[in-house]
Amino acid sequence: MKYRTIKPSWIIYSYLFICLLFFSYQASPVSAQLEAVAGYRDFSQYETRLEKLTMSPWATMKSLGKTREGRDIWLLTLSKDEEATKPALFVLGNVKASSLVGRELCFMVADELLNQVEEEKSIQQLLTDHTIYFVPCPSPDASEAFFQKPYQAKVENTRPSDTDRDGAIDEDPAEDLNQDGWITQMRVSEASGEWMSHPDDVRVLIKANPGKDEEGKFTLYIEGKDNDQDEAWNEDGSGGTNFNQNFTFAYPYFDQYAGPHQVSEPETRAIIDFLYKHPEVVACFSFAPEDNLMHPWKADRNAEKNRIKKTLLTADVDYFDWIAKKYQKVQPLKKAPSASSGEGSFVRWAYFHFGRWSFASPAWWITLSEVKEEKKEDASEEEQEQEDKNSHEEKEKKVEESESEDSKKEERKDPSLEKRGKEDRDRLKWLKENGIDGFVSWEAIQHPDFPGQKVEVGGFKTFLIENPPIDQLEELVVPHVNFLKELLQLFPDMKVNQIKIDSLGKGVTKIEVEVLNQGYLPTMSEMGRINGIPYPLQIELDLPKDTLWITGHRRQELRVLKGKGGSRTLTWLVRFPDQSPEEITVKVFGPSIHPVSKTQKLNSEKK
Amino acid sequence: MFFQNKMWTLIAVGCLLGMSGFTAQQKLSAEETPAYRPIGAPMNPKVEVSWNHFYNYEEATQILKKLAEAHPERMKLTTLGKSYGEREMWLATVTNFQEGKADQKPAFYIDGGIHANEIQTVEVVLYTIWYLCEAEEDSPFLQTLLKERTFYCVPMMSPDSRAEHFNQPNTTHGPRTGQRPVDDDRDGLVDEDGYDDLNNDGHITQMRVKDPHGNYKTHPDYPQILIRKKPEEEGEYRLLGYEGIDNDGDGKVNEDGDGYYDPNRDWAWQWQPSYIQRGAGHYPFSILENRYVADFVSEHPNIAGAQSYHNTAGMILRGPGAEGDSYARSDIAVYDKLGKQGERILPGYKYLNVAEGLYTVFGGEFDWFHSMRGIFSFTNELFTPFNYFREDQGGGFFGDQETHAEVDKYLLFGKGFIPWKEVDHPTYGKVEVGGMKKSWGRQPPSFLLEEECHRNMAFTLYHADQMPQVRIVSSEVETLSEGLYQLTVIVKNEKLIPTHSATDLKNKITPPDLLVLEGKEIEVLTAMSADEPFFERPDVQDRHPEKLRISNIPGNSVRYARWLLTGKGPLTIRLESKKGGSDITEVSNLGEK
Repeated sequence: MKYRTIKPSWIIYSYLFICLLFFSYQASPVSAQLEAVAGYRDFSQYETRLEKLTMSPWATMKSLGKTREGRDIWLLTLSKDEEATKPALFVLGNVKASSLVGRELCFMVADELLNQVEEEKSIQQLLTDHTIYFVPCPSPDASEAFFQKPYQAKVENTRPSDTDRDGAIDEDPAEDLNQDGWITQMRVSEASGEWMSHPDDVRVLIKANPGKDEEGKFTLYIEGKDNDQDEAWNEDGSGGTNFNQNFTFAYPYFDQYAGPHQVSEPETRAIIDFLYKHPEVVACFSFAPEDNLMHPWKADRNAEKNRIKKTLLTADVDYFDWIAKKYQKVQPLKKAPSASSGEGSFVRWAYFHFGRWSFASPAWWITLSEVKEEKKEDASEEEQEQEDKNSHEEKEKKVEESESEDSKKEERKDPSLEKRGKEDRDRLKWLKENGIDGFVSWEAIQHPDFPGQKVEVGGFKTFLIENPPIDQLEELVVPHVNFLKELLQLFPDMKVNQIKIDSLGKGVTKIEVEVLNQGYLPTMSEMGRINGIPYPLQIELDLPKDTLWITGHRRQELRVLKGKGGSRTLTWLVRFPDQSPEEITVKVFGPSIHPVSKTQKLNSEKK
Repeated sequence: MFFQNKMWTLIAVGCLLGMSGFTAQQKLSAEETPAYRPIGAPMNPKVEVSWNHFYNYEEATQILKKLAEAHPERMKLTTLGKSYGEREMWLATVTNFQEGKADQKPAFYIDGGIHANEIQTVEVVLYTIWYLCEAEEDSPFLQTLLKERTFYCVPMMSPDSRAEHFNQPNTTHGPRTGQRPVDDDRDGLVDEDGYDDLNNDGHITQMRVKDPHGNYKTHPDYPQILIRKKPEEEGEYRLLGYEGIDNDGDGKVNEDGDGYYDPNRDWAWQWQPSYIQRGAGHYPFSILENRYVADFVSEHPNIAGAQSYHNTAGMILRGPGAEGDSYARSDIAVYDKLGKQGERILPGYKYLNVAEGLYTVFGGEFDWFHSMRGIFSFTNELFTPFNYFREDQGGGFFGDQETHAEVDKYLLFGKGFIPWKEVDHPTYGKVEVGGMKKSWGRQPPSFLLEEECHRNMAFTLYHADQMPQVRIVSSEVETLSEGLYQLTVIVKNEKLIPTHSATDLKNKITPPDLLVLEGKEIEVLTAMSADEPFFERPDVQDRHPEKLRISNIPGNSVRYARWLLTGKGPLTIRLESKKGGSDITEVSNLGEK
């Protein structure tokens, strides 16, 4: 009864919906901050939960540094012996700050591994042999916008900045003009506008095409006022630099959120400095839009002839492709949105500049139930792949069966063949399927900057289309745990296969050693070999101090060995001035492998 | 008679001359007599410094402190922070502190010693600071310069390695890197195989071994140097590289010494990792010392010109540093003007751009100044072998070894070379060690050092003088109708360098120049600016017309500004340019006849 006075019905729905969510998640403490998206934890809750994980003897946490606002960039290490250097996997959480999915999933994956390690011997072995480093939240200042009203999806941190380079700092942020707690969009009706309504759904705006004799009706802005009266709206808010545009590879100079220069932020520096101190890291997995698991990177034979490498190298492509296939098998969602090209991103940096195997997937994306249905019909893998390729051209014409009163007004029943705006329409469908109040209907307001003009505020609540209700993430945890486990099994695995010793007489001895890589991955990516960042393996002969090295040296570098049985034979010629030793031990080591050795008795017949 | 008359005249003249001499002596006592100094030198320096000398970190620090103490109105000494080795990163701010605020005058940035082995670069900066503090007395040019401009000088960009070069055995080529340990060969051991001073003389020289199959023989005229033997000749020696042993037993000699990273491949513009650009660190400004400077420069948009010093080979270098990069034509025209004058000031020096004239440098310092901060900047490669005998020498950047041997014989009297001496080497057996000392090759000999300091300073002062200087040239009020006025103002940049380089404009680095109208009783209706007096193609500004934005005032050019306003005078017009200084004028007659 008491809600009667509130006119827009969606407020009631959303309120009820939020209440519902509160009750359905007992784990999440009731807090005003959860209004944005139920189930997601703000930074302090995230810290508390991390601390709980470290109750496990398999987990430790450590700060890699502090952000400008003083938040810690937490590293969670899963390993039996945290201090020991063992081949490691580095997992990065919400690389895109506004996509809290990455932080939550990263955390849940670690949690699940810690649950499994109690019971399963195989996991115990895995974490005895390896280290997994998790940084669930690399850019916490930016992510915290998720929990602060008005809600505005932000990728940038809060570095004071002159985003529009007019000499004033952060002078024109967005404003919540309709006071609904969200920063959405505003559209101004004017003849010079380039946007028009979608013919089938007035909520969606598409760009008018003069080639079709269409007329634009709206100019589109972020919701807010022109505080500094420069005829640009909300162009210089409280931010900042985007963590994921601040890396050195393909750095977007002078881009709005790229920062003053590469690696200008404490967040970026913390991650890079940590990784350079940890040469044992073999591969990186990121929850990131620079997806190369659902949409594998392509190699380019011509482009890779250039000295500066910008495309996946042909020599590495098979490994990436095969691992992507493995991921696609475990990932329950299909039809991933196209990957972000990622200028200045972590994912491409990790491969091109850090030389490591770098894999990424956004892990979750909007998937309509009809796509899920199709999946149940079980398209074979190749068909699925083909479908993925075509998904953008495809036109889906299924008419909704049950429609609410609200959307009946907005959506036409006899749809046109309009392809533009498909992504937005899918989002709207998904919101409806999931009962999420994620769209603010366009509603007129009075705007001081546009006297006498019609200005409407509306659009998506960006967080809600980037981050699903948290229970939808649950089905993704085990698949990702399984994928990471599988990835660890693919690491290089060295063996000193054979030692042949030939005594040539008078203490002169020929030693021939065959070394084998039994793992799937090569001892280094081709990109790593070229950029010279990963550490080469070393081979060392344990021989008496007075040994004279005729050819070869006591310790030397071992060149890259291919995966799956890549082998190399090395020969030494030495002389033992006094007495030949009884045995020879050959060691192969390096931070990214388990050290291996083999001992061979010397045949002391010839003297 | 005639003769006698003449005699008398002579005597009279003589007496007069004598008397005048006498009176002059009476006016000035011995202490008051100004020292007879060579022209160009400061007349009464408060701090005496000899400029045929290299100063280590502590000595250089003392000079800076003494100057700051002796000239509190001209120089302030602060630190940007501490280096890796806990040394101060000194910043000397030199200007006339009695006239205006240092950070509001167009400023010129100078640094030295980013490559610490390039020793004299520090002396050039020290000399510049000293000269600016001491020499303005009889120079109206310098007085104006210090009144209107600020100099920010960082003499030692890599102080730890300067100490290393002075105190430890080295060649003239090292250390170029800083002193943070780096595992160059990625074997898990850090800096474990550097040079070894086998003959304990503080210099790293060459190793040679007697070998009839070697490629070298003794020079017929200069026995301390080796030359390649002709194919048909018998050899005498084999060269084994710089003094050192295989400290870590991996079969390589001296493969993991100090560093290695190159502080001048650490800047953000066109940065590339080490597989493309040798010496690049992990990321731009991963070297703390550089980051201090980059932050300082970014926080001081008044910096409009910059100079960094390197050696060697006598070059005035501008960007772009990387092949494929390019500078705007209008910017190049400014550089050309400055660089060509530089070639006159610095005989033997050549003005070049790095990418085309030299080799590609990714992540060089001056490129960052130009392309990311919009600052006109040069790198001078100090010293050229041309200066030894004032003629072009062969032998590339350093000059050939015959020239060095000749200089050693006729100008240095044998002080330049360490004589060959036999020592035991663990791998090679008996070897001989000897060759050029670390203190020359890249550095000038003592008698050329002061000249190098002065001429290079002269070039930077010319450059600094050409930084933009904006003035309000005229203001004129016209009554358009009752109570409506048109105010037209001409502003001028009197110098060569524009208030905004083309790069600056393109990337909106520095805010526009502002013409601000202030008057209690006026209302400004609209404002516009144009590059011609008839306002045929004006830039109109309706919002906040009292603060008219002028995107750029090119070198030696004017811009026209116009307002329509109502109300009454008086009003002031303020011109503010981040890189071009400011000016102010008053209009009192608005609304009066």
